[in-house]
Amino acid sequence: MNAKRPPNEDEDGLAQSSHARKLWAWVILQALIPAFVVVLTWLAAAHLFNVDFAFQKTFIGADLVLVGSLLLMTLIIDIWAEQRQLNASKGMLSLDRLWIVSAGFTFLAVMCFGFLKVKALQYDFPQRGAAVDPSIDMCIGANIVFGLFAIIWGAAVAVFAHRKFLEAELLRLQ
Amino acid sequence: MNTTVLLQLLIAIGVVGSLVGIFYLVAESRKVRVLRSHLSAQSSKKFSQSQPRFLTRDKWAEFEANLPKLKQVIVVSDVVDEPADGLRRAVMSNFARGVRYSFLISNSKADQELNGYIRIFRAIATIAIRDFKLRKRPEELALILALPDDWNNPPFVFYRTEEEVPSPEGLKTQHRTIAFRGDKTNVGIADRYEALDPVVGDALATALNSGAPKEVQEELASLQQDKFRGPEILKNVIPLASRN
Repeated sequence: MNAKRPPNEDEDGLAQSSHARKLWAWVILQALIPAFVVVLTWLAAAHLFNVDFAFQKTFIGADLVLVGSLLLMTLIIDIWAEQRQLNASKGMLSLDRLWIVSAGFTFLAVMCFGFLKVKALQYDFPQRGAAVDPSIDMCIGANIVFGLFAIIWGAAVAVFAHRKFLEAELLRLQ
Repeated sequence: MNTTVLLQLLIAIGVVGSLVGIFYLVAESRKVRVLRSHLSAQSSKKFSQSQPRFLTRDKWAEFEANLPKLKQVIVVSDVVDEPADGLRRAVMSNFARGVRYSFLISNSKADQELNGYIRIFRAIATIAIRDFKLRKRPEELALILALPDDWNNPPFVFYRTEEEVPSPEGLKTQHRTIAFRGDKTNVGIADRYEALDPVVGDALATALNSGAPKEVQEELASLQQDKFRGPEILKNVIPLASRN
């Protein structure tokens, strides 16, 4: 059939929704679900397996920072590919600045991951009931805060990239 | 720089960065929502602009035969041409449902056209009246009138429909019109027809009405009250797949 689809189902609409779906799938599958698993691990270790210092041992591993870094890495690869596509087919919008900012965040997140991982390896946990070294708590705090920072910026970069994509589509239509 | 200071710095960067990130995320999401609504509006506009609005003679006859609730066809042309093939069948089926054909033709050719193809239209009307037991006369179904001047333009055709539309007081009768313009001058039937925008069709009807003889004005007066519609009706009457 040559019948045209209504406007909300045309190719532009499909391209927009599939682009948004792809970005949100990355944020959910690469960041939110792994972060949720980390939290579940802590709950399971504390309540099912009665592990000493379950919270500290779970979060000192810098898993959240790693998850956020991977999300940012995926996004900069996609933005790079999209930049090439924009140049080739639309030639209207540059994502260079976004790419540089995202790459900067990624570099910062990876460096922090390395630093916090090395710090985590240096700590020894005391016997049950004893107080934990305050620097361990600080390291855990840095892990959680910086992990959230990386994930939030990953989501922000994804939304920004989607906005650029929509702007390019709008220009093309006009 | 000792480790504690470095960790504190990381926490500070993380907290500030996260807050800024959340703020940025919310702001970007709002922009995306606005852009999406703009894009949706643009896509709809593009879609309506891409609606085909041209009909060949065959498809035009098909349109004429299938336009629901059709009540009157007003043809403004230089002469009356012979309704052949699909158009003849369309005219027959339209007379059968009581559709009135009004021909407004060039002043200088009106007399000779009275003995021309209008007779075929009236012959078809006579058969329809007989077969479908209509209480009408052939002259009522196929009317011919002279314009004040000669029509050295392409033929224009107005299709008037009478529809029942819901209103707060119940069902209300509404007359709607779609106008077509042919692609050839000084003919009765063109090879190709273009559906006109409602504003253009309405303006044309008004222009024809002004200064016309009384009987032509009476015929066109109904158009003044009608609501004009655009080419979007084509997709409802003729399937897109079969349109040229």
